[in-house]
Amino acid sequence: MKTIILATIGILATATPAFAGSGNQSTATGTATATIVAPIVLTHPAAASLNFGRFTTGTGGSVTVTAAGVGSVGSDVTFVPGSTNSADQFTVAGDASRSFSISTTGGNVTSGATNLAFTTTASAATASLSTTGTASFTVGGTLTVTGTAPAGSYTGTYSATVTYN
Amino acid sequence: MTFRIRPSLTALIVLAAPLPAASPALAAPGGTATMTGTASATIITPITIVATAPLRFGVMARPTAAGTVTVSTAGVVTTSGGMVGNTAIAQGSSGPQAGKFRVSGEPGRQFFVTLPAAATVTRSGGSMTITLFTVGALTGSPVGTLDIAVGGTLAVGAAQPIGTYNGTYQITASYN
Repeated sequence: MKTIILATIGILATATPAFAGSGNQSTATGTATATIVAPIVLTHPAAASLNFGRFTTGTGGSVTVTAAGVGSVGSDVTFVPGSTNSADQFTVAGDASRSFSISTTGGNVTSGATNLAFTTTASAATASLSTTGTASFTVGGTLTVTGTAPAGSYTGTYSATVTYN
Repeated sequence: MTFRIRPSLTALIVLAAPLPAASPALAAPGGTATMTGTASATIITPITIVATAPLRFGVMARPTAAGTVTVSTAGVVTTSGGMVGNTAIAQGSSGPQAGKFRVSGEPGRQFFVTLPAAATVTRSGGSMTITLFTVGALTGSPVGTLDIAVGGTLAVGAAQPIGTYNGTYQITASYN
């Protein structure tokens, strides 16, 4: 049976190599380490947005914009001539070469009392910061359009989160 | 004459051997008496302690507010203040773990260990303090040894410079 009496704090002053000869006492040097890395910072350029374009609802349907910014419609929704689409863009700064994960939420775009729901999809679920500690990604999404949605300019927000892996 | 003396000499030699070993008073006539004292000595294996694994607090993002990271003797991480939720970083081979030491000595012998009240890890331009050292015994140690684990609490500043911090601490094992 072995027993151990737990640490008596604060007796370091006695723990010098001078005791080495007695055999009743022995001292070792332990090492301790910790690493602090740059915090991960997500930035959204003011000019960037997820743009579902201009369209007519018809009896309703959907508009999808890929993370590459390519738009398409579903069901009875039709883009009007001159409509453009864009994916959203984010930049990331942090610890060089470190991997991180990306998550995005859905949201609603609103005009007056009408809400239209959308989902989002990031260009990647995980990515790595460059050797200089930078990265970027884009976000596409799918908007569900009701046939009863009144004409208007709809705007809304969603959240994007990056986390070190 | 000759025959009587020889047997006498022989007898004395035989008696001489037990004398140093503690016979009760063989006292010659008169005023001396001999008693036997005892003396003993036991040499036991000296105690030694050797570091076998570093105490690692792992990789963490610089917090926006000061906080602490505690590694238990079981290697479990807990956080406080600005470090809450700040240790979920891929750690690779530098993930948190308790420091480990092997104490060797006389089987069954009790000992105690002493640790400093604080230690420091440093890098160029920055330092952090480790306090609240804890010690725990590990199981499965071979006879005559005991593996022990050391935990501690690291204080991380709000503007802690980025980098890898290294430091040392002294641990002493003593026979009780």
